[in-house]
Amino acid sequence: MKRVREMFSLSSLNKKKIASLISCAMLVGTAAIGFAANDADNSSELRADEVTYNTKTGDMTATGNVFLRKGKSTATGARAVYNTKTSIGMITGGVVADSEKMHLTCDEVHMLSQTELFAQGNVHATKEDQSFVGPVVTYYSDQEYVRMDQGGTITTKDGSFTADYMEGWTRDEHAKGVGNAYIVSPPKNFEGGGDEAEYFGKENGKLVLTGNAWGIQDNNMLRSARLTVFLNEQGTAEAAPSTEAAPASEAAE
Amino acid sequence: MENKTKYIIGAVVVIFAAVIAWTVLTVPEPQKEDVVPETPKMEYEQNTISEKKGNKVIWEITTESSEIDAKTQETTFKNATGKFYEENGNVLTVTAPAGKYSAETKNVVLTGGVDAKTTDNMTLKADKVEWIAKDESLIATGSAVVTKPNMTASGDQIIAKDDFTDLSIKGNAHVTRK
Repeated sequence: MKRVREMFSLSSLNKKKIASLISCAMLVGTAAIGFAANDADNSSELRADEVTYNTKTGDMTATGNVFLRKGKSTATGARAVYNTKTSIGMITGGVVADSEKMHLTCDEVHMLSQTELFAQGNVHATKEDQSFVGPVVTYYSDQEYVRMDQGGTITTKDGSFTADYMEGWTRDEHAKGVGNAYIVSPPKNFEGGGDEAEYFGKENGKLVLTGNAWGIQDNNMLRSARLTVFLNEQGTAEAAPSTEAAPASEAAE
Repeated sequence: MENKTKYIIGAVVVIFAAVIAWTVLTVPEPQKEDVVPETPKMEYEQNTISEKKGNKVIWEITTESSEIDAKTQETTFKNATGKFYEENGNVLTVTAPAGKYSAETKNVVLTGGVDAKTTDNMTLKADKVEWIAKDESLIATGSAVVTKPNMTASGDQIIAKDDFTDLSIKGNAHVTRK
């Protein structure tokens, strides 16, 4: 295996910043609201033009200017169906959800179980300077797992991460993008991509690009079937099995 | 000829007198206006009305005073205290300053600020509460509030069925759960 180290001066592209970029994927699930998550404040509130509520079955339907609050999380929409006993339900029609510093807008949010939440239709989540845009998001709060079947784009002030399919395990600081994975950090003048990109936060910020992997920083370009970038303070890169290094100007041709 | 003239004059006088008499005696009486007979009403004090389904009393209302319209069979009452017996065994005790009961529809309307409480600590407040017999439902209108342990529901109107397990809230609906 041919190995190239320190091809890039990645020290400035430090682990924390890339980690924050990738872990932004995780915010989508949690921003898609604390309804699926445990909250010390379990009180809930529902406002609407009309509500039907069966206290025996727990079935609740709200229509018109719906406002739902559970603990510190809130959501608004045009219509909501929810079961207070099973925690299964959905909010539709211009959904806006907020959970502490997280903000989510989408067409629909479905609470599929106490731990599974599905948001679809122009999903846009933000938390402070991080944001996610994509068609659908599924979040499993018990596993702290988020999946974006139709991909999307995660953006932070340090750059963006795009792929056709994305998933992440927040507890493990582990995220994966499949299909046209692309990471760009304009402030650091860095770009990388491949068929897949996988990030392991607990392994020195290891980023593995596989399948037509490539990376560019400044005028340095690295191509390989598999490219591993350690996003630690020193910043190192490994490429295997076939590595091709060329000036960026040539790579562009 | 003189006698004949006298007879003629006498006959004319008699005929004239007869016409005058007929005219005077046959003057039609002025037509009387239709007079609606006053509906008999029965007034009671400390009256109790009730509704049964089979042998089971669904509700009973004791009033300080009541008035029953004999024609419409509608009872109007004041200062009512009622009990609605729910299927689950709970009893809803309700008080209201005024109300009406229709013997035809079996509906009850309580007005003037209604307060109710059940034996399982559910409460109901509203400006007006109607018992709709055919639906076996209560319609609370005007600042309606239903409270249960750990739950409060309010709105412009609350329709309650099935012993207050089925609530339909219309207008400014608001539900809180602890």
